[in-house]
Amino acid sequence: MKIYLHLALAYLKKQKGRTAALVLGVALAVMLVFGFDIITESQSRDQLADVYRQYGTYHGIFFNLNQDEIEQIKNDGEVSKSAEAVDLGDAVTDDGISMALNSTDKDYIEMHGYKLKEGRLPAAQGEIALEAQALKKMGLKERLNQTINLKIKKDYVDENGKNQIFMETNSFKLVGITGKPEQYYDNGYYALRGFTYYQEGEENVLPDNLITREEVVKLKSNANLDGKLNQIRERYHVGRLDYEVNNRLITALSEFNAEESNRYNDLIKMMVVITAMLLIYNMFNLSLIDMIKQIGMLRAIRAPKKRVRALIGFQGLVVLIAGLALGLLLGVLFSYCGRGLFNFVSWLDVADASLYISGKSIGKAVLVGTVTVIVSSIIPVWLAGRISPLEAIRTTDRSKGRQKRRAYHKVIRRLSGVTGEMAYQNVWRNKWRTIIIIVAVAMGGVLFIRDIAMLSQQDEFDRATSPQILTMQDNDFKLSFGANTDPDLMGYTAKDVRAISKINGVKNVGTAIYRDGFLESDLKDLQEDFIKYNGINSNNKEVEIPVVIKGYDDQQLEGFKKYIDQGTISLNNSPDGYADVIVFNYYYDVLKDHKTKEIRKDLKLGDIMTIKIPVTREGKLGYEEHEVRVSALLKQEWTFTGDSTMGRYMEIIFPQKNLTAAAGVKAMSRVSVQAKAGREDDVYKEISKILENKPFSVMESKLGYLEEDREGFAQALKSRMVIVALILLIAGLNIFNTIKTSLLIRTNEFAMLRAIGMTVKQMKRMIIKESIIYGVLSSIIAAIAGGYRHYAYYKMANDQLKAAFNIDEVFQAGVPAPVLAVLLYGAIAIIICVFAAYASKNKIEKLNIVEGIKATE
Amino acid sequence: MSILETVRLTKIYGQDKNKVEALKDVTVSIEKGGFTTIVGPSGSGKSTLLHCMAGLDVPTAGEVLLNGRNIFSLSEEKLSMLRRRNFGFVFQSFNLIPVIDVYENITLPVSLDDKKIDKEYTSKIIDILGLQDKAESFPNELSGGQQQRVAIARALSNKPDIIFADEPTGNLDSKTAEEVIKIFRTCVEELGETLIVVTHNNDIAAAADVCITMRDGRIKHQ
Repeated sequence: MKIYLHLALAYLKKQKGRTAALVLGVALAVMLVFGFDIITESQSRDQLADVYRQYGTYHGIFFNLNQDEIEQIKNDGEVSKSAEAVDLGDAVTDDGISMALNSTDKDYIEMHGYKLKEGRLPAAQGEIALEAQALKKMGLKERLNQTINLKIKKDYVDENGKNQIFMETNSFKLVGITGKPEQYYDNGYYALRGFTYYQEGEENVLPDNLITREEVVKLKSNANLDGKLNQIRERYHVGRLDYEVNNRLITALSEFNAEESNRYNDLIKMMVVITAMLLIYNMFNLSLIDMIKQIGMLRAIRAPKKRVRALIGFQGLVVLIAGLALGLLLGVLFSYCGRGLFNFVSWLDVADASLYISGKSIGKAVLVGTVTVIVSSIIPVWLAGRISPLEAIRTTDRSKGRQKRRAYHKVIRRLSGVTGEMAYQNVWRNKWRTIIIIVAVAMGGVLFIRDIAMLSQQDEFDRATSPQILTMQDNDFKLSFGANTDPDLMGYTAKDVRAISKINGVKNVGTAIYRDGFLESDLKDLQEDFIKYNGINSNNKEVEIPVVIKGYDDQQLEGFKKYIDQGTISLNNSPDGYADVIVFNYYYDVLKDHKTKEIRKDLKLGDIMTIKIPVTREGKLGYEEHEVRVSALLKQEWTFTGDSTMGRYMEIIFPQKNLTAAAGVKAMSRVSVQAKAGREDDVYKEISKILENKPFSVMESKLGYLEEDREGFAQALKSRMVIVALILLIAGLNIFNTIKTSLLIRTNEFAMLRAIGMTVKQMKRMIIKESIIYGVLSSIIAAIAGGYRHYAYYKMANDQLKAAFNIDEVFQAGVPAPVLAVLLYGAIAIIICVFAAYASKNKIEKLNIVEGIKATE
Repeated sequence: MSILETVRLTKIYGQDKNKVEALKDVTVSIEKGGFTTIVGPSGSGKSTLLHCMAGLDVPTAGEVLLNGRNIFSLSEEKLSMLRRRNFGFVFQSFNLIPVIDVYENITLPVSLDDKKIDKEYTSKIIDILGLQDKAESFPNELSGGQQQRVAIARALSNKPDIIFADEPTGNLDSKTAEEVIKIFRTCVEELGETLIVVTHNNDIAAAADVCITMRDGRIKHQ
C-alpha cells in the first residue's frame, strides 16, 4: 500500500500545475463557505447583542389587557418570562410631544432595555422618570427634582362600549432619568416612554376605571417566534392593533439562529462549490489521462483495481488536506477583509463587526470541502479501476465516435478560416470536458447578468415596487411628524405651509390632515375575518372600529381619481346635508396571508355611515359623531401605491375644507412638496431650515429614497462581484489547465501542423479561437439562465403584488431585456478564456517539432 | 541539378556527459526530380539529417541550402512558410488531423497558406492515390494504408519542391508498403517531385535513384 501512496504523491508532484489547481479549487470553496459563515455568525452575534441593548429582551407586547388576560398570557405554556405595567396613556407636552406613560415595574423596564442613568425609579404619586432624550426634545435640562407639567391623555372605552378621550394636566417631579444606548436614538425611529408611580386603590394619574394593562413576554423557544406570538394573540382574542412584536429582536434572533436561511447566500455558496467541483472533477480526469499508461502498466503487472482506485483516492485525500488547510486560512483572511463588505444581517452597521470563529463554522467548512472532493473525485476513482492495460495503450484524446460533417462547419470555416474550424472541432473532441468548462464559466454569468441588469434598472424597479416611493405619488418631499407627537396637538401651521410654498424652486405644495377616529358599525356588517383579526368582542351588537380620517386638498383628491373603483370624488357635501367621503374599505392582513381583505360587508355608494372624529371644543378634546355618505370606493391598489396607511386601517377621506369645518382642525398633518426639476437639493435645504425647530418633524425625499436604494444596491453589488470574480477565477483555472493539458495531449498533432507549415502565430490564433468558443458558449448559457433569472425576479414581484393588492401590471413597460449585462458578461467571459489560453502560450512557443512528432499520445 | 545541399551539417544533443553527436560534418547534395533514400542502422543520424534538411530541426553547425540559400537564415515565420509552400512531409505515424475530413487534411497546407485550393490538381492526386470515395471520411474511419495515402496526398497538395518522408512504411504491412512505394515512384515520374525518404525498407531503397547510407552521424555511401 505504501508504494501506492508514494506513487500518488509522485504524480501530484509531477503534475504541479494541476495539483495547484486542485488544491486551490478546494481551498477557494472552503474559503468562501468558511468566510461567509464567520461573517454571518460574527455579524449576527454583534447584531443580537446590539438589539438586546437597544430594543430589550422581550419578544412581543400585548396592550389593552385586563388583569385576567394578563394572568392567562403569563401562564401560557409558550411564555418563559413576562412583565406587566399599567398603561397610563400618553404624557403629552403643550407643544404636542407625546410619550407612552407606564407604571413603574422593574422587570418591565428591564425587558424594554431601559437603564437608569440618574436618580431612581418613581416610588410615590407625582413622581416620574423620563428618558434623557425626551428631556432634550422638550428643551429641558437633565436635572433631577424639577417639576414638569404634562397632559395625561388616554383613549378608553366607556361602560357603554364607546371610545372616549381622557385628558388632564398633571405636575410631576422628575426623580429618575432613563435612557438607552445612543445608537437607539440615532436612526430617528424610536418611541419615548416615561414611568410614573401607580398603586391600585390610590389616587393615580388616571381613574381606576380607565386603567388597562400591557404585558411584555419572552417565549421559551426562539423558533418561529412570529408564529407563536400570533397564536398566543389569537388564543386570548387580542386584536391586531393591540399586539406588536419586537421586530428587530425577532429578526436578529432569526438571523443568529440561521432560522431563515439566506437564499442568496446559499445560492452563492452552492455556485462556488459547484464551480469548484467541476474544476476538481476536470483536473482529476485530466490527471487520469496523463496517468493512463502508467495505470495500464500497473494493471498489467497485476495491481488490483482496488489499489489503483486507492491511488487516485490518496491523491484526493492529499488534495483535501492541503485544500482544507489553505481554505481555512484564506477563509479567516476573507472574513477579515469581507466583514465590512458583505452584509448578511438586517440592522447592524457591519463596518464595526467583530470577528468570531466557532467550531461549528470550522466543522461546516471541513464538511463542505470533504463533500466537494468526494463528489468530484468519485467518478475518476471509479474510472481508474476500470482501466485495462490494453485500453490504456489505445486510449487517446481523439473522438471515438464517427465524426460528422455539418453544414455550419463550412460557415465557421468561411468566417474564421481553417484554424477557426479546427478550433471549433477541437472544442468538441471531449464533449463532457467542454460542457464542464462552459457550465463553470456560465455560473458566474448567472449571478452577474441579473445583478448588472438590475443596476441599470434599479430606479425604475424601485419606482414601481417601493412602497415608500409609491406613496409619495408625484411629490418630491413628504413632511409629516413621527412617533412621539400627538396628531391632535401638533401639525404644520398655515404659516409653515406659506413659507414652504415661497421657497424658490417649489412647484407645488399639497396638504393633508390625518386623524384617528372610529366607525360605528353593527357587528353583522363586518367581515368575519376582520372581526377575528381585530379581536373584536362578538358579544356586542354595535362596535366601534378604528379608522383613519383624512382630508386632502382638492388638487390631491383630483390626482386620486385613478384609484376610484366605484363612484366619483365629490368636492362638496351632498345636497341632503351629509358629508361626502371616499372610503377605502380594505385592510391588509400582515399576519396570515398578506392579502388585502374587505372590512365592511356590502358597502356601497350612497350608504350613510356614522364616524367619530376627535375635535377640540373650548379646550377640551373629545369625539364628535358625524354622518357621512359614501360617494366613492377606492381600489385595493390604494394600499400599495396610494397615500395609504398600508392597510392598517379603514380610511375615510374628506375634501379638506369639509374636514376642517367638521373637526375644527387648523394644522396640517402632512405637507407634500413638488420641486422644479433640478432644484430638489435647494428645496431640501430650505425645508430643512424650516423644520429645524419642529421636534420629531420628518421629511421624506423621493430622491433620498432612490439614493439610499442605489447606495444599498451598489454596496451589495460590490460584494456580489467579488463572488463572480471568485467563480470566474475557479473557472479560469479550469480552462487554463484544460487548455494546457490539451496542448500536452495533442503535442503530436501540433508538431505535425508546425511541420507542414503552420506558424506559431497561426497556432496561437487557433488556441485563442478555441478559448473564444468556450467564452461565447458560456456567455450564451449564462445569458439564457441569467436572463431567465432576471425575468423571474420581475415576474415574482409582479405576481406578489397582484396577489396582495390586485395590481394588474406593476411593470407597465414590461421586463427590460438585460442586453448590456449579457454583452458585458460575454466580453468578460471571452477575456478570461483568452487570458487562460494566452497563459498557456509558452507551451506552443517552446514546442519542438521533431520531439513532438516522435511523441505518441 | 542540385536542389538541396547540406554543408558540414552538425547536430549535437545534450551537454557534457550526455553529449551525443547525431550528425558530424555531413555534406550532401540532393538532385532535383530524383528519388533519394537515406538508410542506415538505428541511431545513425538519418532521421536527424532529414529533419535538418526539412527545417524541422535546427543544426548545431553547418548550413542547409535550398536553391543556394541557407534556410536557417530565415525567420521562424518565413521558415514555416517555406515548409508550407516548398516542402511536403510524410511521417511514419501518418499524423493526420482527426477533427477534419480527408479532403480537408489533404488541402490543409494550402488552406494554412490562405490560398485558393486548386480543385483540379487536388482531384488528380486524390485519383492517383485512390481516395475518391474517402474524401469525406474522417481519419479514424480509414485503415493505416489509407491514412498514409492521405498523408502522401497532403504532402503533394501544395505542389512542393521536395517531399520528405520519414519511415513512411514503418507502420504498414508489406502489401500496403508496396503500394506506397509505387505511389512514391509515380510522384517522381509523373508529378516530377523530388523525394527524400528515410527508411529501413530495402524495397524502397532499391526503388530509389540515389541511396545515401549513414553510420554514426556520417555518410558512409552515396
